[in-house]
Amino acid sequence: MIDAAIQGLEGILQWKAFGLMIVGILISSTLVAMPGIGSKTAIALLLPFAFVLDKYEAIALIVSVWAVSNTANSITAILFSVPGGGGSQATIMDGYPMAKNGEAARALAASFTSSALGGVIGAIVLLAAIPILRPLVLLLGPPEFFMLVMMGVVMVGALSGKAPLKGIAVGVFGLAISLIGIQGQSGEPRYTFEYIYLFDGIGLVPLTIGLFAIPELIALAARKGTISDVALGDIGAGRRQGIKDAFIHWWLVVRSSIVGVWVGIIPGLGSSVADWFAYGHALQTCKGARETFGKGDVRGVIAVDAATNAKEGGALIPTLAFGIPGSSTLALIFAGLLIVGITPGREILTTQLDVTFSIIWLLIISSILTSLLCLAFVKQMAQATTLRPSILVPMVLAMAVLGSFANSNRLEDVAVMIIFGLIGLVLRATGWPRPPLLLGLVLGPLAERFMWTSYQIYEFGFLLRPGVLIIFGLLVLSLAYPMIQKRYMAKRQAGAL
Amino acid sequence: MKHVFSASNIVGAILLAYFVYVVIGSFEFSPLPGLFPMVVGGVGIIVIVVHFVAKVIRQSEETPAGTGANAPGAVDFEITEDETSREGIRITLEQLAWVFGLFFSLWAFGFYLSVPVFVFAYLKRNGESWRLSLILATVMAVVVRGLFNELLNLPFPQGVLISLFT
Repeated sequence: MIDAAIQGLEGILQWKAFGLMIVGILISSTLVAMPGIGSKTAIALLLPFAFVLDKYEAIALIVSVWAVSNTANSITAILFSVPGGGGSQATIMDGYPMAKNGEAARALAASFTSSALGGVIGAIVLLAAIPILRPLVLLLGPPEFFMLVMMGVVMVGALSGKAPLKGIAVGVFGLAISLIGIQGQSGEPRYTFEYIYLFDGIGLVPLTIGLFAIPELIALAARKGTISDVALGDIGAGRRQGIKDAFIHWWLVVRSSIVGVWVGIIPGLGSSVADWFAYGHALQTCKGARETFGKGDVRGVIAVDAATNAKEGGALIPTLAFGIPGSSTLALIFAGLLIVGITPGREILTTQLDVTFSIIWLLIISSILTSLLCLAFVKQMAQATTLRPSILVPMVLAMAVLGSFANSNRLEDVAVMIIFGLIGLVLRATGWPRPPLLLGLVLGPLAERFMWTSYQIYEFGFLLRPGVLIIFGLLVLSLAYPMIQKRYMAKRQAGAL
Repeated sequence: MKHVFSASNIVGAILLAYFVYVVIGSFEFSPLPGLFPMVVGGVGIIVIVVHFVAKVIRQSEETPAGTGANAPGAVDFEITEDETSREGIRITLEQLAWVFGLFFSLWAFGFYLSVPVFVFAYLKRNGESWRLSLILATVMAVVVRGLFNELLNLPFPQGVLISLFT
């Protein structure tokens, strides 16, 4: 095993493979950072090059684009409230308020550092998981996955602070929006009005851009100020503080990374679930989070970015071990491996273990290099928050329109962005939280798919399986924990008086 | 009476109507594809009704504090006084007009023309210099044509009016 680890490291440290890794990192940090251009697009563009590269070179190029895309996705989320990709939706929650408070440099630095740490932790977990992969995933079936998704729905309540009912209502609204389109298992169209565009459902990218970016751009213009309400101050100090923050809250980084890895292991969940799970976890477990989260608490940024990058290590577990790509991006990586003659599954964990290790090394090295690269440009990025709205609004709006259109290359995507921009504006103005809508939309199809499969196998008996009951117990605990914590704090305060 | 027709309550009522529509619509589907929408809509109706009942009980006990995103417990970005002022509302409506105008322009004239022209017009309307407006409009034209179209092969539609003349 050690020989394979060394061989894998040597493979990606060859000058050509290393150079291609740098190219991948640069592509990911610039192109993928733009809203609407995901790592999937970049990998699809680079895939043909795999035919003329050897296995380490092809892996270095493709895996590095994918491995670091989450780091770059946070840039526009923090600076402009425009998510760069699926995994950076929750980064907006505290990253953007920090930018408004003049702490963009700190938020970016904390995001990049926790992202690097999350990437490393994810890779280490992948490494540790190799001997125990099979029992780990085979332990869970559709009923358990269904309960895990339900646990995510519970996070809706946690994301809604002191107004859980409003949050749950908006979350259910998100679930209802997710019903639009052709039902995955039966092929029956639902709530589509026989309009072909709606057959594919409402796109997550235009919806997210509309829900968050449009209201914030309008608010920015209405305030007539810059994004940052106060002067940026010492950017260097902000950067140092952000790096320090990630290490001060190291235990939160570890916990969030584990959440991310776990979400990654489950095929089909993806980054857009990992970030909200981690945010909800931090909101429930961090001291005083209910008062400070959503207003610019660095812990909200750290938890999300550690989880989304750590998720990639977890997502590789079913892909490499069983040949089950957890997402469409991983399916492209899968295709890249096949092009260079590597078949995921038994082979990659036995005779070609060096390839597995080269991927693990890539996750570690590219995570660290990307964070260092992004940290080097924090000053320039932070200064974007001091731009006049008259410059920022048209540029960001134009990019938002292009990003939305890129979802499925239809003008209706832009219409969806505008409609959800209006919905976001109304929700924001009337005190209904917006984030649960996204969580509902993401979790809806998964919940229905797992419920459908579970019902077909066990009928309603699936609700009584031991794994389901254990997860249900955890679900009740996570619901009760904030109330217990609140009561405990009240008791302590009363005792102190 | 004023409390009954507050903006927040109207949003709640719209959500309730949507959930009722989801439940009614679920009867049109086969039993299994209709099950999940029925559950989702049903849960939504229950949550909204409980929310309204809890609100009535709460209002009889205490006076509300804060509105919008500043309302207690709302996890979202805070709204500033500038945004709720008369001038703020005027600017908000103007921004919405820009957004709708851009969408109409994309439909009528396509992306290649609309995006740079929108950027230029917005910058000029807000008092930016000719030089900066032209530079940024050119940058956006390059981004649309070079990056999205040439590099990423994004097939932008031509625009309904443009296609009539070509």
